[in-house]
Amino acid sequence: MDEKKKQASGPVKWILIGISVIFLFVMLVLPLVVVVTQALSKGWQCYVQAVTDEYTLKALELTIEATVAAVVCNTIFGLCAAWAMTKFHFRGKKASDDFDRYSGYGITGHRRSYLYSGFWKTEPALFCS
Amino acid sequence: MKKQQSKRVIPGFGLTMGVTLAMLSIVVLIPLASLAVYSARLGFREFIEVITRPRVLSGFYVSFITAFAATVVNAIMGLILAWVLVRYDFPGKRIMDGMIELPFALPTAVAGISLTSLTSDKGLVGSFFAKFGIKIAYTRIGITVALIFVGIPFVVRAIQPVLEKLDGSYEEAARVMGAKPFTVFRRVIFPELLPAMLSGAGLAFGRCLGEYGSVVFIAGNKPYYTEITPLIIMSKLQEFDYESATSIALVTLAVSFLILFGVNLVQARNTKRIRGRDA
Repeated sequence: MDEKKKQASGPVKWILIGISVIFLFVMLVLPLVVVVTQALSKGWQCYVQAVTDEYTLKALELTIEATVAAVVCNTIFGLCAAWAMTKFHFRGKKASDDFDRYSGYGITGHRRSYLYSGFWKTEPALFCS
Repeated sequence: MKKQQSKRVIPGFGLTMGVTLAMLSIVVLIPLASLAVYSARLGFREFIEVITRPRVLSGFYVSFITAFAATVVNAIMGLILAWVLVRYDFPGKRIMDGMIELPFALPTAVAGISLTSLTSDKGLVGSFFAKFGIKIAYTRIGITVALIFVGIPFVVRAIQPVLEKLDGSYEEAARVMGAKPFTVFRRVIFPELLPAMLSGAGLAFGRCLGEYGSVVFIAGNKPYYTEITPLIIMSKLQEFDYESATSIALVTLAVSFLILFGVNLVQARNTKRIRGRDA
């Protein structure tokens, strides 16, 4: 949109930006920082050792394989579903759309956002070492 | 809108529809049906008995209350974040925009562990709140914090595109007619954003109800206090008590469907009111 819409209404703008920055920092950045610092807390050597552990490597390998497979499947399926949903009209269209979007989340929690589905499996890798 | 035609111009209906339905059945419908089948192995009275055990009921209560609290926070914070990202220009905006999706990329168990170490009494954030006598980790507040982390991208990403496409001329008209900025927001902008906000919040809520990985670490899993439904399901599964597990899961599923149905209903009414017709 044009620049006129980005009207700066003085203090409100900065208060809202402040709230957002604080929220994001506490909720998203700090956990990430903690992950990195804790991973390296016993030194680089220890980190490398943990990551190159035989079981960890196997788990990572499995993760990548599963992720690639899932992404390939989801790309094909997603393309088909998107084509069918947007280009045609048929009965029950809305229901199938909603069903697909909602049902997985409420119940198992294992169905992540499509692309990241494989990352679930990185977790075993974390507990091996 | 074109209605169903006898002859379709665009190719590939049969193929794409077939693939979609097949995948939908395999990935979504059959697993869901198996839930019902497994639960049906119990009689109706046993089913009721399983889902009304005090521990299960308290699990439902904890799950819903924390998911609801997290969703409310996410709806408000998501609105603010989307607003800031769309309407304002400031240094670091692009980084901020990219950061929103971090909860998707970070494995939830990792997020759970790091949130726990942050919010425990000795952690960076936890020690601050401990001064005021507020404990976060290993309480329901902790569960809510983890769920806020997990749910925030859903709301932001639902509101953002709607806010971007919003026609500025209505706001200008309202301003010209003498409305104060907040009135413009409340009467002109917010009604347009509400459907997006509700659907984002609905998705986040559904996700929060099933969230397991990030919550188990921060919750401490004390029965009757911080034991969530997914954990109860998990423990039933580990005891090979599939019937109980699926029965409890079925209740969660039913409730989240009801809530999402309600959200859709509100949405449909809203769209009607705004557009003046059924969209």
